[in-house]
Order: sequence, then C-alpha cells, then structure tokens
Amino acid sequence: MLRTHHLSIKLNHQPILTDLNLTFSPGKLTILLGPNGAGKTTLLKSLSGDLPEADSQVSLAENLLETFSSEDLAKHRAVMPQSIQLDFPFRVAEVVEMGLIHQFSALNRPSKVMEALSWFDMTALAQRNYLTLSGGEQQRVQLARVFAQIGFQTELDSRYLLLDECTAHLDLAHQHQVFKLLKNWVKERRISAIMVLHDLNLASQYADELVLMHQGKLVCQGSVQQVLTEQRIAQVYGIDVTIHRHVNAWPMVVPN
Amino acid sequence: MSLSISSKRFRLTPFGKPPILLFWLGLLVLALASFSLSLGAIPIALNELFFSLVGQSNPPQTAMIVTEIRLPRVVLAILVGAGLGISGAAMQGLFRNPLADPGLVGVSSGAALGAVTIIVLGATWFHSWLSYLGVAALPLAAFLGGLAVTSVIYRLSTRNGQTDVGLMLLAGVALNAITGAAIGLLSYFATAEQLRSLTFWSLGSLAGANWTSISMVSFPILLAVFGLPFAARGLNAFLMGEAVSAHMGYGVKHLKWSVIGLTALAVGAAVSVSGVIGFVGLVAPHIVRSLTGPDHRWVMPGSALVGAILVLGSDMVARSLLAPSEIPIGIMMSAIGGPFFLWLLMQRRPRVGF
Repeated sequence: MLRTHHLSIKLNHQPILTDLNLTFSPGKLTILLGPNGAGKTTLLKSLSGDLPEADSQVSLAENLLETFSSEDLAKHRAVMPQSIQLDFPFRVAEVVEMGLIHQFSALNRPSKVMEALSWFDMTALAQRNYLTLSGGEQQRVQLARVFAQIGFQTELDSRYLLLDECTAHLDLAHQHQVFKLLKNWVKERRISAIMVLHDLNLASQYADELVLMHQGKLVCQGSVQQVLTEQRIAQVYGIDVTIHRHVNAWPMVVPN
Repeated sequence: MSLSISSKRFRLTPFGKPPILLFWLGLLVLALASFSLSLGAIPIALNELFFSLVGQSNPPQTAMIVTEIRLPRVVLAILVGAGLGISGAAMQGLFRNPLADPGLVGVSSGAALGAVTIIVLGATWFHSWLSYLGVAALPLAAFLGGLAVTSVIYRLSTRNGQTDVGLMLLAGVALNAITGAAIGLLSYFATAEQLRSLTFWSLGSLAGANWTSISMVSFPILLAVFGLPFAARGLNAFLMGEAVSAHMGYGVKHLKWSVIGLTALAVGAAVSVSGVIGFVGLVAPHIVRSLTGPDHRWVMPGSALVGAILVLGSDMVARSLLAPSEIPIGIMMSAIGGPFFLWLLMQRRPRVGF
C-alpha cells in the first residue's frame, strides 16, 4: 500500500501540491491526469522518494519513506522519469543490467537482461551502442531496465512501478504493447503501476483507476466512468468535449 | 522470440577482454619505466640496471644513479600519472561528462594554492601547522585546497542531479582565475628562494623527486587508486543521473562524497610534489574508453595505467629533448593536451548540450 498523508510540497514558497490524501492499493493500474502544471510529476517524485521533504508524508507498506534505505526502496518500486540523459556509449544490455546489480549474481544477470529486453522487442539490439538508438528505442531500453528492477522480485507483496509519460516517444504499436504488458503484470503479478499520462483516451482504455488533479489539488479519484465526465473535463481542462462510447464500452473523449 | 543470444559478459577490446588489456598496459608501464631508468647523461644497459636494482652493481656509482636519482623520479612519475589519470576518470563519471578534468575545473589550482600558501606563509602565519604536521603539511594543505574547489564546483554546477557542463567549465575558469590571483599575490610576498619553488609549481615538474617526497604522497595516491575502483558500479549508474541511480538502489550521497574526497586526495598529493600537470586526467580516460567502452570497472584502473604511461613518457621526452637542460613536464602535457582538448570539442560540437 502506497499512501500520501496530507502531502503538501512547496517550491520557492509556491505551493505545488496541497494536502493530498491518496491511497494506491496493490494490483491496480492508476493513471494520474490533469492539465500542465497540475502537480502530477511532483506527486510522482514524492512517491518515488526523490523529494526529501516528501519522505515524511508518504508511506509504503505502513512505513514512512524516510525509514527505507535506498537499496530497500529499490526492491519495492522502480521509477521511470520523464527523460533520462546518458552521454556515454554503453551497450543496451549494459544499461538494463545496471538495474539488476543488487539482485542477481554476474552469472545470472545476462539471461535476465535478455528476458527483460524481450518484453519490449529489443533483444536484437542487445549489443548495440545505446547512443545510436532512436528516442523511442532508448525509451524501450529504459522501460526494460525499470520493469526488470522489480519484475523479478516475486517474494515481495507491495511492488510499484512509477512511470512519468513513459510512452511519449513510442509509436502506436509499442505504446499499446507497454499498456498490455502493464495490464498483464498488474493482474498476474499483483504489481501496481502509477503513471502520469496526457492522453485521456489511452487512460480510459487501460486504467483501473484515475486520479484527476488540478492546481496541486485532488479533483477526484475513481473509476474511468466516474472521473471522465464532460462537465469535469470542461471544468479542469477548460475545453468543451463530447464523450462517445467505444464498442468495448470505454469512454472516448473528443473535443468539440 | 529467442532468448538464446546471451548478452556477453565482457565486450572485447582490440587486445582481448578488458582484464587482458589492463595486463598489457601494466606491462607497458614496466617497460617504459625500465627504458626511462636506462636513459640519461650516463646510459645504463638493461642488464646493469637489473644488477644495480638488486644491489650488485659494479661500479657502485651506477647503483647510486639508479636508486637515488632515476628510480625515485620514475616511481614518482608512475604515482602522479596514476593519481591524475584515475581522478580524471572518476570526475568525468561524477560530473557525467567526458570533458571534466582536475586541471580544467580548477581542482589542481586549488591544490596548488593550498601548497603555495604553505610554501610562502608556512614559516610565518602557519608556523604551528607546519611544525605540527611536518612533511605532511604540504600535501595536506594541497588536499584541502583541492577538496574545497571540487565541492564548490560540484555545488555550483549540479542541480537536481544534472550537471550543467557550461556552468561547470565556466566555474572552472572563474576558480582558476581566483586561485591564480591568490597565488600571484602570494608570490608577490615571496622571497627569492620561495619564488624559485613557486615557478616550479606553475610549470609542473618531477625534478624534485626523492624518496622523502615519495613516502609523503604514496599513501594518499595509492588509497585513491585502489579505493576508487570500488565505486565503479555506482559511477556507471550515476551516468544516468543522480535520481535514476538512487531509484536503482545505489547509495548516491555516499558515492558522491567518497569520489570527491578520494579525487581531491590524489590530486592534492600529486600537485604537492609535482606542481600542476594538466590534461592527464582528460586524455587518459579518453584513450581507455575508446578501447574498453565506458564501464568504470575498466576505465578507472585503465586510466591509472595510461596516466602513468603518459607522465612517464612525457617525462622521458622532457628530460632528453634538450639535454642536459630539461623542459618542465607541465609544459609538455599542455602542449599535447591542449590540442587534444580542442579536437574533443570539435568532435562533440554537433551534439546537443556540447
């Protein structure tokens, strides 16, 4: 269970998050929605343990984040930030391996690396120089690293994937591949995913739960049907939309 | 989907697996060292060299030349080169940028300022410091100077785990100017004899090598050379940013400060005996990385060995080119390193952010 307790964050005396009380229960794909500057990324960073002042306001499995060592925390959650800058010519396999150093011996790592790469169709590029990949390919390598970090931890109960815009550079097919994999992991492996996303329709197709934010505050948390209403989207995003139904019943948001 | 293609454990270098490459580099250091021992006003053949090293030489003067004059210089060249090379590799990892170098970002001049302060003011203002610490006073002051500059630069140029390269290099320019002014001011107050030592600082030289100076600096340099490789895995992850490596469970704070401390220790010690020898820390890691790839497990020990090769080699050239007089090795290294740095900049120009 990942929880925030009256989470409030200020940056340069400017409130970014105000009094958030959220509970992220295991085995769900939760998507954080909201317009630019709503505080989604700051919330995700608070949950990741990136902001020291948030560590006393967020708890994981009933313990505040500040009580975890970074190695312990790494077993419970893996994080994919918006962008990762790597200027050195590592090979794809070496990048993925870095997420597995604390878990596996040098002999076992190569096969785990290849398995992780196979989740994202990247096995053929395992020996390629990371710097020569396209933006989308780099993102898939990083996804393999992040997923591998907690994917093999089977004995732990609460495992979280915290993903910030992790499909931004991916083509249509690979975007849906990532979401299908996430859905599968959430169901089969009881892993929870919390994800920042801008695409309302992707969110509506895959999310188990939505968290809608506006100006650092919670607007509402609930199922897709509950959160995505024409009226609420108009109020939060300031744009008129019509909600259609996809044949498989999920709402589709189309601007008027 | 086939999982049969296993990811290879080591990438191959042109000389085989990375440990084999390190072995060849080590051998090259030894070969250069023996060549350097035989080179000088009195040429000494390799077999004579061997006899003098084991104390069996005839005539005894040869043994004197080898063990008291040439050997200390060779040993010091290896120590200084190894210390500067590995510090460069570690700093490039810490700053996440292949353009960092102890000389460029001002760590060496910070260390030089510490040392010069002791040379000029040791007898007056810092009398108690000097008498209390004895021979360790100079390297310790150099270490403190280097440490101060490294932490200032790191704090200035790094925000949220991202190092701004432009800011780092400009901060280096500013700090080099400040330490340069302070050194200039101190030399204004220096006596004629102190001035001679000061000139040696600014140019960089191994001419002052003797067993006392070696005993003074070998401990801090060896500590860094054997300690820094333990940070290799952490530095690899650090290249993706402070936050990302923390996410993966690496102890970031501990890593950062031990790398800053150990590099300041090695650079401080090297500067306190040989003055400012620039570019070793820039050139050595580049050569190694081009052979082994960016993995710090090989880049760091490799840079120590290549650093030793560079300093040994340029010292040989420096003292034989215009024999019997010699060119300060700092000038030699800058003559090689300056153009190399320009070439590096040209190479990286098309890339974003440098």
